[in-house]
Order: sequence, then structure tokens, then C-alpha cells
Amino acid sequence: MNLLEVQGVVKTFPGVQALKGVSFGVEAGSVHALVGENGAGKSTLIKVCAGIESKDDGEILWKGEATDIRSPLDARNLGVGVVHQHFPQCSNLTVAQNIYLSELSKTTLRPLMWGERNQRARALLRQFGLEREPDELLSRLSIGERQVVEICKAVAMNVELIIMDEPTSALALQELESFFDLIAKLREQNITVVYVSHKLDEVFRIASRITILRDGSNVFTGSIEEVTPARVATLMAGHDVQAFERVTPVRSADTEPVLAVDGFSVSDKVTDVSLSVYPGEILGLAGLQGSGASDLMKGLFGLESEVRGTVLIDGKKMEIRTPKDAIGAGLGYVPVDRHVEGLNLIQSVAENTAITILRTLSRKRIIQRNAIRKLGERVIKMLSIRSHSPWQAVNYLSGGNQQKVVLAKWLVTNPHLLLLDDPTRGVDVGAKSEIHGILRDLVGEGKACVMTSCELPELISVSNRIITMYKGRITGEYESDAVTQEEIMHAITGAVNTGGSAGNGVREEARGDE
Amino acid sequence: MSKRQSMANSSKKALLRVFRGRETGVLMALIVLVIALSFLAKNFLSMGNIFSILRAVSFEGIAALGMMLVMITGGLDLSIASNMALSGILVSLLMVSGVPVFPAVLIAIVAGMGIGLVNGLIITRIRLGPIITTLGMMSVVRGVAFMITKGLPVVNLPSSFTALGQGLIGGVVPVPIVFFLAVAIVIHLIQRYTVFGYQLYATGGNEVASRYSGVQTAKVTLLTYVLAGALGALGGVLLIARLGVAQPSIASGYEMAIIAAVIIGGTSLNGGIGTVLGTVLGVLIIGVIRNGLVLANIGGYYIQFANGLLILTAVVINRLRGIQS
Repeated sequence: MNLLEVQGVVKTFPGVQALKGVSFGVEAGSVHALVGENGAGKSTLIKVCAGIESKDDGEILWKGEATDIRSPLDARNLGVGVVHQHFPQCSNLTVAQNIYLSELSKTTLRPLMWGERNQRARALLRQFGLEREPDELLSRLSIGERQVVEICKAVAMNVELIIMDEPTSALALQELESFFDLIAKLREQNITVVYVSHKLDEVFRIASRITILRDGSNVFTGSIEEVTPARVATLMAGHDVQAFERVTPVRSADTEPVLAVDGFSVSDKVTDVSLSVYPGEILGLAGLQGSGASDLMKGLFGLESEVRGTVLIDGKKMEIRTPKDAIGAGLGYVPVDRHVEGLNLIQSVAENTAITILRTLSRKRIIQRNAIRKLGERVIKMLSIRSHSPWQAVNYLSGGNQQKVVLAKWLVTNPHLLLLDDPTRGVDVGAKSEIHGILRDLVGEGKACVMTSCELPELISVSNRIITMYKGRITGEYESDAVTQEEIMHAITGAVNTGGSAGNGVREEARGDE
Repeated sequence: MSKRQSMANSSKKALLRVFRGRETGVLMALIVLVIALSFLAKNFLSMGNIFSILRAVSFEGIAALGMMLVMITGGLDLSIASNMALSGILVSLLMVSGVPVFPAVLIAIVAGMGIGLVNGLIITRIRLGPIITTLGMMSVVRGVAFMITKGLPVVNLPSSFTALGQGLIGGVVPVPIVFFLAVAIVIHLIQRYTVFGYQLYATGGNEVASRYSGVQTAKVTLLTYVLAGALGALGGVLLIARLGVAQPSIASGYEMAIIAAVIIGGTSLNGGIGTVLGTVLGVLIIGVIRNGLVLANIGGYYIQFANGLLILTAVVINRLRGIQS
């Protein structure tokens, strides 16, 4: 029998029908993947099941009986726990205080002693392999550890079903394995898991059943064995997803590299990095959190203060101290967090795009609104941004379209080299391949890109060459055609010899091929 | 590990916590101030003056504890000083028209709670910002105080009432201090040892997380405004008892000193952080400066300047502390 059954659930927000009658069942004891592109309705569906949003129509059955989940409290009382994507927590409280937040949800003046609760919390933490003390402040924990706390919080409420909304999007690569262990432990305890994601490799690794949502409707539900990743991607997108075709970079002996970096260091985060990027090339920087890959990009773009080493762009030596210098030198930088670093969310598509080239859009220091509008219209068309007008606030765009706006604001500067820190983070399959297409078009014009990605398969398939980093140093260089995910994993986790000479050796070897 | 060792360990931990705590800096500042002023002003450290400082801060101190509760949820109550004035007027008018002291005080406090309730309802239901809501309420309440008195002071308050503000317990300890201390202890116990206290910090720390966890954060927030209303009213009633006359203009501008005290005491403007001990110390610092500047003949005109400087210093220190951690 199905533990949870959703029947014809409809939810309409002003201007958009988020759920158009979704039906699916979750078998008890299964790990049920819920996949779909951004905007397919996954988050809304979860919020309805968790009592955060009310449904307009349809039914939710719990163990075969119709129920009415009107608040997070109702959901919890049934036995449904939710681990949200950016799981909100109280970092000013201790680990145990966070774990028992749900249990102590009734507002009373009842006396509250933490001794015994801390004991229980410790047992729970150990059970899920977290060596932290219950009275430690949550702010001292890493994101991965906080997620374990969030799951303990659900388990502490004796839930039978845990819904996880893109649980791995917040995790660093090295935290993934322990996360999969944790899912296994939940299964051992007979807790059913609904796993929302659009990372298909993860889904195929842990899920036993899968439901695919597209555009507010369910298009497939069944056992994971019935489908292949390619089939799921097609069902999610509603059309065939094309494999990425790389451009062949120009890399002959007398080609001037677009970017040549020598002995580059950024405070204690990047040490003595030397690399070159050639016209038509996408260079992948592979590294875990703290590897220095992101810091290298920031350093190149003039966002770090303690920078040493030489930087040549198109053969000319450049002193880049500020982003303004970097833009002048022909660089563009797509930061890792578009909400915080990439966009002004309350401004429009046109305004966000215009910010990098305000000078050319103004006459005698007076901004030409008309020119900004035209620019907005142009990039909307060029990158097929789904926005009904150039003046629409980017706040209301989906993640993928927001990311396209970030790309747009750099493309309009006509950069020689684009630095992209995980440019497809949190965007859906369709938008992802569109972004890849934009990058391919860019390098096709003889420009170059340096990018990172938290997904190694993506990095391997998109980039021509991959440089691996570990603890701020380059540990290897690989042609993407001739490398496996495993080799790169070794190089970025420090499993190979990380001495400077070995790294250089690999690099020289690769150069020798030219 | 032996039991003694572990005990030594835990007491060491507790000691460390005291030194790392936000209150320690405030305490140090207070001590430095007291030492400095004891040199500058002759009578500063006399028993009489110490009690006079303590009594002088009790009224705002009680209100500050209410303000602290509101601020821990991330809110603010600008109407608290007007609330003090109106409740003082109310209790006086009631007594002058023949209502006995105890019910009159009770009614005034309930009225204060009512003001807090309206603040809280507007903020949690209509989701208006706390600053704009309580700024409006500040004016409305002050206006009511003027309207019902026609701007005239209420006099001839019964001595059984003024004893609440002017009386001495055992001939030494002024009554308002006892009220202040009692309120401080009760609030501390509530914060530290009740579910509500815990939810208060949770709501201030992350309202969304708490709401998603089933905590009725709107209710928790609402309650803090009601409590602030009650404590503001109590402070106002005691203040009028101390002065013996109820003027509608009384306590004007007190909200700034109260907010200053709470911030100096280490309560975070972003919510989630704040203690009774810190707030009491913050109130004392303001009281000591006010008293010391007058006694040292530097003059009352410098008080506002000193308070302002103090707020900025406290906020900068908290900010630096935040950056460090």
C-alpha cells in the first residue's frame, strides 16, 4: 500500500498554475525520486505536502486515508518531515535546540531542561555518524553537518516519511558519500524518503522509484529500472536533450593564449599557479571546496587583495587590482551565487544587463533608457530568456533564466575571456544545455572560458581541458577526451602526489602533446 | 575521566563562557566608568547616590526588559515611552476618580498590554514593519495621553500609591529597585527555562526555520509585544508614583535611552541574541553616565551626546565581534 498518495493536486498562484493535477503514490520503505526541471512544480508540490502551501484542489491520502494538511504542524503530526533545500535553521542556537525545535512547537511557559534532551540528541547524532556535541552552537557546523542535524530533527519526531528538497545542492563534493550513507541508514530504519532533485546521476544511484514532473503535471511514475537517465532527461525537458559538442580550440605553437598566468598566488588560498587558456577553449578547473579554484577566479578578476604573479591577456601584461581593471582587460566573471553576487534581484532584466556597459548606454553621463530597453530586448532574444518584458524584475524568473541574465551582462561587454564559477548550479537540465550552448557560441568566436562545476561529469563533457587543484595548487592537467571521473576525483582529493614537481610534470607532458 | 576532573573541566568551561560572553565587555565598561566617575565626582560612590542611581534607572530598566524581548525576535517598540506615559496618566485618573490603588494599577497594566497587542497584531497579521507600526503607535498613544488630560497634570495622588515609587524598604532600599530586580529575575527564568523562552531565541534566530518546524512564530512575536506593553506600563506607573504627579509629556524620548540600553547590553538588532543580565548592565551604564555627568559638574547637556556615542560604540563592537566569529 502507498504510504503517501497524491491525487489530482492543483495549485494556482497569481498568474501561474504551478500544479495542474499531479497524482502519484509513494510506496512505504522506498526512496522515491521526484524529478523535474526548475519550474516544473516540485517545490510547490513539496510545500503542499508539508502544509506550507494550501492546495486548491485534489486529495492527499496518508496510509490510504484522506487527510488535510494545513500547517507544518499537521504534516509533522501525521509523520511527514521535510528537509528544505536551503534548510532554514537557527544558527544562534545549539545543535540540540535545533533538533527539538519541532517537538517544542507549542508555545507555553512550561519549564524546559536540556540535560536529558542533550543526551537523546547525542545518541541521535552518533546514530547518523556525526561526531558533534549537542550543546555546540550550530554556527560552528559545516553545511553538510547541519544537514545531518536537519535530518536528526525529522527523525527525532518519529516521522515515517522524510521529504528532501534538493538535499545535495548545498553539499560539497566530499560530503556526498556520507550523505548517501545517511540515506541508507534512513532506509534501515524503515523511513521512507522522497528525494527531490534534478541531478540524475544521484537519483539513479539511490532511488528505487521515480516520478517525473513537467510543467505542473506528472509525466511518469514507476520503478527506476524502467527508465534510463537519457529517457528521464528527455521526459523532463519534453524534447530530446542534445549532447554537448565541443569546439576545437586553436592551440598551435604560435597561437597567443587569451590568458597566460605565471606564478599566480592569492593570499594563502592559491599558491604558485601557472596556466594558459587558448582561443576557442573551455578550460575546466576541478577542485573541491577550499581547493582555491574559486579564489583563483576571484584573484584574476581583481576581487582579492593579496595577489602575486604575472597575468598576460592576449600577450599583454595586465595589472588587475579591481573588477574595473579586469573588465577593461577583457575579462568577465560569473560568480557562484547569482542571488548574492550576480544579480540585483529587484531590478529588471534590462537594468541588470546594462550595469556592465553603462558608459556606452549613456550620453554625456545621462542614461539612455531607450538604449537600455533595446539592450534588454536584444539579450532576451539572443539568449531566449523567458521574460515577458525587458523591465521584468529578475526576481520572478526561474533559476536558469536568472543565470542567463548574469551571462548576458558579461556577454554584452564582449569579453575575451569569461570566468565562470559553477555557471549551471541549481538550474534545470534544459537551461543547463542552453547555457552550455551559449558558452560554445562564445568560444566559437575565438573567445575563451574558464569554468568550474560542482558536477564532474558536466565539467568533463563541456571543457576541452581540465586542470585539477588541491589546497591551492595545481595537481594535474588532463585532456577531457582522455580522462575518467575517477582520475580527476583522485587529483582533487589529494590522493595523487601533490608535490609541485609532479604537477608541473603532468603539465609539461600535456604541453608536449601540442 | 574522574568526576572531579570533569567537574573542574565544566567549571573551567563555565568560566570561559563568562569571559567570552557579550556581557563581560559591558561589565568591564561599567566598572571602568564607575572607577573614572568615582574620581571625577566626590559623592559618586556614596550609598545614597548608588541607591539613587538604581532607583532612577528602575523605570526605564523595567521597560528595557520588555524592549529586549521584542528586540530578540528582531522587532522594535518605539511606542514604549508613550505607553509609560499613558499608563501613568491612566492609573492617576482612575485613582483620582476613586478607584483603589491595586485595581487602578492592574487596569493601567492591562491597557499597556492592549497597546502591545495592537502593535503585535499589526506586525504579525498585517505584516507591517515594527518600526513604522510602533512609530505610529508612539504618536497615537502620546496623543491619547494629552487628549484625556487636556494637557493638564493629574495631581493629588494617594500616598499609598506614591509609596510604590518613593518608599524605602527597611528604610534603605527604594521600592522601584525591588520591582526592577523581581521583573529581571522573572524574565531571566522565563528566557532560560521555559519553552517560550527557547522559542523566543529560535524565532529571532531564524523565523522561517522555526515556522517550518511548527513553532507559531507569529504568536511568539505577538506575545513579546504584549509583554513589552505590560512592562512599559509597569515602568510608567512606578515612574508616576515616584514623581507624585502625572504629566502627559512625561517620559518623552525615553524610548531612545531604552533602546540604547538594550543595544549596549549586547542584544542584537537582527534578533536571536540578548540576555537580561546584559540589558540590566546596559541600563546601569546609561544611568551611571547620566548621574556621573551631573555630579561631576560636566552638565546635563552632555548626556545625550554621551548616550549616542555609547550606542555607536556598542554597535561597532558587536559588529566587529560578528566579523570575528
